[in-house]
Amino acid sequence: MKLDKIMIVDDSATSRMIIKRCFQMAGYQDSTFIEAEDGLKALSNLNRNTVDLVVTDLNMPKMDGATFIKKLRLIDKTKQLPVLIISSMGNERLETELEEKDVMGILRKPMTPEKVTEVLGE
Amino acid sequence: MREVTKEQAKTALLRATQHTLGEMAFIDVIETEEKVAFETGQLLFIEFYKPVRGRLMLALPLEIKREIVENIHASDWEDLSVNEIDDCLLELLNVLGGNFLRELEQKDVKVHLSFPTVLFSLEEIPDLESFWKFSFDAEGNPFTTSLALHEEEE
Repeated sequence: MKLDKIMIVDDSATSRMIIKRCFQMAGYQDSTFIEAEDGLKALSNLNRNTVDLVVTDLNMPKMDGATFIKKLRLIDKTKQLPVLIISSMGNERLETELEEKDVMGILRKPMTPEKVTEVLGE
Repeated sequence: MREVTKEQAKTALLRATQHTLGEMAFIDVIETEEKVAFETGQLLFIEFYKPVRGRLMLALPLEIKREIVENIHASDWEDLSVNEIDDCLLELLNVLGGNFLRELEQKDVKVHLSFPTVLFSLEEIPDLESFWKFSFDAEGNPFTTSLALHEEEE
């Protein structure tokens, strides 16, 4: 899967760094990474930028991952944007609901390059 | 809440700690008899609500804290800010909490955790005596993980 621009949304700078490193180790070393620390900042950034994939955490202050994805699906520009959830927590009802909104997958932390390859392919 | 014995909790916590520190910081962890004072090192705290209710606390002496942070960041301790160090340790506890609950349930169960926090004093924690204390060793550096499980509210 070709990904020129990847947006990483997570309130932890450490987590964003690990996710970015895992994507680079999985073969996406030439991709450009855009970071946001919550759903609000990610939405604002997506108004100005176009990305090929959004990787988001669920448990974030200000605007959580579930609300962020729901809002993405209401905007024409991001309606079809591929989204991957990476989280240490979850909720069965919420995850079922999110899977119905065309989320590519839900990965558990800690993130590894192998998990990226598993979801996106070689 | 199903009954969780201290031995089951210790096994799940050891596996989760091995998995988390191994994958995030490339550090091997084993059980140890060596006791580390509860008050030693930086205290990190998280609560969990599903599939069981409880609290998890990590007391990390400087040596292991430094090794974890340097390995995760692939940077020297001196080059990292206090915010970067705290964020790194909190993210570690967040992942450890999720892994512990999945190890306890022996499956990819859905979990619900609070935001992790740094504690400045043990006095911030009520019912400290209800915590089980487990000592682990990370490549020669002992540290303490403490756990309290609670009955579900009616």
